[in-house]
Amino acid sequence: MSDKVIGYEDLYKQYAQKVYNYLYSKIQNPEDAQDLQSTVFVKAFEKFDSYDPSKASPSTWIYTITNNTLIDYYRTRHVHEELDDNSSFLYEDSDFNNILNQETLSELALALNELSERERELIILRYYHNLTLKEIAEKMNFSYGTAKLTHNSALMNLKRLLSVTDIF
Amino acid sequence: MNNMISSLFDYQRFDENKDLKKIIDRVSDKYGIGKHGLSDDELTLVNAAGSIESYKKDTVNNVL
Repeated sequence: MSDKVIGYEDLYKQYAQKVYNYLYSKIQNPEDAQDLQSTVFVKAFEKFDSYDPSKASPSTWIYTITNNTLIDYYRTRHVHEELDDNSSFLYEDSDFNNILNQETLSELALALNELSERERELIILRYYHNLTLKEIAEKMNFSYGTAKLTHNSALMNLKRLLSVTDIF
Repeated sequence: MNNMISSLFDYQRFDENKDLKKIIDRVSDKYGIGKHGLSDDELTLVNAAGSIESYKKDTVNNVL
């Protein structure tokens, strides 16, 4: 058995579930998620020879293929309403691919813990749950103006905290 | 900055970091926002090959 086959099999075993979970979280349709999962790994197999581990971790590489597959899915269905302002993952050649790893996520967690509770909660509601600032203001029981101010200060503080890492 | 944070949180959905998950879960629970993705029970329905075993409904007793 060649190294390529072993490498690809390990890739599949390690990421098949993650790919499916991610796709399902986006499209909430198990059959489509399963189809897209298959598409992702067909593409991965086709591109496996050209995969350069020095340029991207296996996780980032599979994540990129998964997102590109998702973009194609949305385009095919003309699902424009799914594309909201927070859809940065839809950048096919994201400038951020080099920071998408567990280490950066850990640094983000540390930085979030340094924020005030209000700022931390706002960031999570805005950037993980994709709520608008208006929705956040209602949930957190303050004015829209306060939400905007808190959002700005949260981003400034996060940038400051993350600037001491390699992220910036 | 906004896009970078969005990208990181999106990547979190793909390759979950446990420390970040704790923070997210605390906020999600506090504000009663459903967690995206599959629960542990739902995960058991999907094997590594990606095939889904559907719930078998007991049509006699009308339960799953």
